Amino acid sequence: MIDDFGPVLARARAGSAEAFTLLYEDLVRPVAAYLRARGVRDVDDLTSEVFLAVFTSVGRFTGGQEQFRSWVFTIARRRLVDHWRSSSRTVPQEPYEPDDDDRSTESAEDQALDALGEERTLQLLARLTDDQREVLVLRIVADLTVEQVAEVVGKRSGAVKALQRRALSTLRRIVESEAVTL
Amino acid sequence: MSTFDDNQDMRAQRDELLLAGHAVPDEPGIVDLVATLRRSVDAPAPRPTPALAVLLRDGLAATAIVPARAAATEGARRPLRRVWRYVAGLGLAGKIALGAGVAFAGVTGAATIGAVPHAIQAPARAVVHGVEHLFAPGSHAPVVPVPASSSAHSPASDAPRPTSSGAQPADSGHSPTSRPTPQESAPGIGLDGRSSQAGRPGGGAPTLPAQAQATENAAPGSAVVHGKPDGLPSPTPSASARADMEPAHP
Repeated sequence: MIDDFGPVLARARAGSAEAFTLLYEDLVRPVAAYLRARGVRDVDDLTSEVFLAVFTSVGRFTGGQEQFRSWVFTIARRRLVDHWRSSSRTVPQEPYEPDDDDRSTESAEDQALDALGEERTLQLLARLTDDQREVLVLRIVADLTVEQVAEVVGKRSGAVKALQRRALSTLRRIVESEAVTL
Repeated sequence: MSTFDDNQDMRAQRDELLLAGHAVPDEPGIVDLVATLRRSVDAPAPRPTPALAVLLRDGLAATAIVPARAAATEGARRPLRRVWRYVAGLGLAGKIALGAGVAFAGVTGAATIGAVPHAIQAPARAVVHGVEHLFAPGSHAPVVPVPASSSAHSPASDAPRPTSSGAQPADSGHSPTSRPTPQESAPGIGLDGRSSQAGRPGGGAPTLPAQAQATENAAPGSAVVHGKPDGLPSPTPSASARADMEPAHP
């Protein structure tokens, strides 16, 4: 979170590189994690596309920090949809390759365990419907409230609550029946 | 509240605790799943593309950022601006043709739509009545206007020439005297057909002379054939109207 968001946003509207960097560092990891959890394998280019769109249209935005976060994830979601459409309209569900993932700074043992846990988590999420997965990832990874998620996905709050309830019920059922360990 | 509602509320609270990353008893699998997802945010940030790196290093000129108000009005102005650019790009002849077309369409619309007031419709209809023969199919011969006082019963063979036998009391107080009554070279549509209107029932006001009535209806038989009491002209007469014209030939 940024302490003085108002002045930073004002400087970003004026095109300040320093303000861009502050906003980027605050949100780049959640955005990349959101894209990864939604099935994008190579998130570098797509994440940069999201922030290029954010910075070139930041003059349109009005609101506080929470609204800005919702707005950024709205752009990320639209870019993701465009990405899927351009790549033959299918969500890539490639198997996770822990050897290709160099994101951890922990020990090799912890890294392997985390990678395995993330792989299993992504596999579990892939068994949800697209709407359920979207809501759950936005709630957990993007750390948005129910109302913010409703704004991002264009649904009512009640519908978002229902989707997250069904998603968790499905995951509970899978975990209990298969005795999943992460 | 019922027991069912209590259970629903408790489950909703439990779900919120889970999603917020709190440990919930009896559900270690879901808690681990949420924790793993949350840890994915701590992964190293992806490298920015060169374009984004330049933006983060140098910033952006303020003019390149779309302001909110300009973005809102941009979409509304775009179609009008596109039309204006198209018109501005036309040559002089194109502009004149476009203006004439728009004016003609406006006058024609005002004359044909009965919804406008009579004060507007009457002069508009008079103008249309005066120029409609120019656009009649088959009228490729040069058109010569006829003075208002001239007669309208000259034979068809004289059609290209202006009529000279103007000793008729036509147009007396009914048709506009300033309006030229041009002839048409198309056979059967010429002035010879107009005289046949005299003997037709319902062809016009009974108090008018035959020539006056014929002058008012530029195309013969149009008022009867189309059943329009105001005598809107028709560019081509129907078969029955042509048959009516035949006895009028000398």
